[in-house]
Amino acid sequence: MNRREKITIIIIAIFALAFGYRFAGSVNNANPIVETIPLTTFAEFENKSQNQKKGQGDLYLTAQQWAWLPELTIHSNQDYTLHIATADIQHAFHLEADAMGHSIDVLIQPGREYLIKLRNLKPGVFAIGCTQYCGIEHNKMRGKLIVE
Amino acid sequence: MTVKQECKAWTLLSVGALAIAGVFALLLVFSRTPVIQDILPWPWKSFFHKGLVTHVVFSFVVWFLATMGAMWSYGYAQRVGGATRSQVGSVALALVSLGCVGLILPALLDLGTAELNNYIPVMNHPVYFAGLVCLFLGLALVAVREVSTMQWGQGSTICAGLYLIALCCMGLAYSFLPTDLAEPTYNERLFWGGGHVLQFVNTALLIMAWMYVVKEGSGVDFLSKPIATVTFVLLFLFALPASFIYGLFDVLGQAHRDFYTNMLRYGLPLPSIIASIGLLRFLLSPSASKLDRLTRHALWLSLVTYNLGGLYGLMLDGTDTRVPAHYHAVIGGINLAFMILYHRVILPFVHVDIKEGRIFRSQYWFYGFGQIMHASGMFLAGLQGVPRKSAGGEQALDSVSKILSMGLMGLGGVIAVIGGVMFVVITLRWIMKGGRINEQA
Repeated sequence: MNRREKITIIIIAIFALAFGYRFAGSVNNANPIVETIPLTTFAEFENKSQNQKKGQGDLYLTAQQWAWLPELTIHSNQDYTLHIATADIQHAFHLEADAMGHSIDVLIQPGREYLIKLRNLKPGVFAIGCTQYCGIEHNKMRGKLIVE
Repeated sequence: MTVKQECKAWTLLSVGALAIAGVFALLLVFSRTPVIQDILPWPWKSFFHKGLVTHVVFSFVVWFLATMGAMWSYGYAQRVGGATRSQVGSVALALVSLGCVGLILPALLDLGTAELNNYIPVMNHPVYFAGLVCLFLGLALVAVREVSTMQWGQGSTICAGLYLIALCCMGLAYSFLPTDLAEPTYNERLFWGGGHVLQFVNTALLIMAWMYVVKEGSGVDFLSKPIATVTFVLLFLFALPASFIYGLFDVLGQAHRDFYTNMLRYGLPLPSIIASIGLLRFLLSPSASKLDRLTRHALWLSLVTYNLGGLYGLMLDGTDTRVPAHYHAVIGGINLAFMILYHRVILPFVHVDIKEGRIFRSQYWFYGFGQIMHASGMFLAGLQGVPRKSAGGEQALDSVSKILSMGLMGLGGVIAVIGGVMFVVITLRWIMKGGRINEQA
């Protein structure tokens, strides 16, 4: 091995350590904005979702093959707690980065309720998508968050 | 069967897989065409998704894996001699061929239901899963032969090790997943870990293809032996923890899911950058003139398309068309490397004659520029929020720039398909004209 190769390998090793450090740091890095609680019955969640009123701080969103229900309209000058549960199988909630300055991506499993803090919302219409395959029409599972 | 004959058989299987994918693409079009759809002997509505699964599995999974078989047997022949007999190769080829039959039958016989899950799309039917097992097992035999040569640090050996890690992840997922899961969830999680590791295999194959082509054409190693070893070892080190994660985190949990996406995010860029810089330096050096013009152009196209895909990958978020823009460009770059690998290294090695002309040369430009336009159009559309895998009104093409972006995508797609079809037709004809597998090679 010549001197040039040795220097190249040292540079590669420094970069590899940096990438490895970031990778190790990402493992089991609990998302601070997401909290989960067991869901005893989905009917209870569905009831809250159907009776939610505009302007309240708790929002309820149901994931199901292949829709996000209901369409939520909220205010930009208020903080919210978004509750999400799935009515059927595994989905993944994704809110685009433009809404809060960073994107949110949360795996939603049956039998649990997921609580996500929505803060510093900007006005606009933001796409909600499912980022985990959930059946043959998975690509049609889209929703929107309207921030006034 | 000799190792050289084995290499020829893998070549036939890989290019044949693209031909099968092409036939299924045509059948998909027919299944959506009025009048013709009524003539087809199976229910067109259920065929569409099944045909799509078969098309994807042959154009991506079987094509890549069979090319891996061709590259391993080529590398093995360099070490032990092309005339050496290999029982392992014959058994592996028989298993993979049987596997391909299993992957085709469910779509043609309308068996099971289709799932377009990530990495390895499936049909929920035992025949299809038996086909997948045969395919993976066949290549596992060749991988074990490759690893048993114990040439650690060599690209093909590390690639084989990566492939075995991917299979290990799939096996662990199978043992950890609850059997009562809904089919979409089950299939997605079954191939989630292994599918991510297969992207490390694909990256190793790309680097190997570049190295073989440059070495064959110019006699130069564009990555010196120590640097090449470091590059491949890096791929291996980042993928190594993949199978241990099954014992640490819930197989259905967020931590498990995110581990694999982060493994790609942090593990693939550095080896890709090292190999790309090495190839770029070579192509800009006087030594590049030792390569013929077409090989140089093909390597440039592969390098640019692959790195464009990598760049798009740094800027993707969520469910818009930037996601397919990323993987179409990356796969396009790898495909271009495989095309020139077959034309300049593998086919001459198995004594298949190549006749070059304007049409032959143009396939690279069609495919390369087509893929760049296709992916760039999708990327630009994604930046404007156009959702992926949508059509018609769902795309919400409400501005001129969105329409132009998707137009670029469509035009590029058509041009790339022309280039791809040219590759399959031209190359397959040459292989067929090259005689039977047991002749010449």
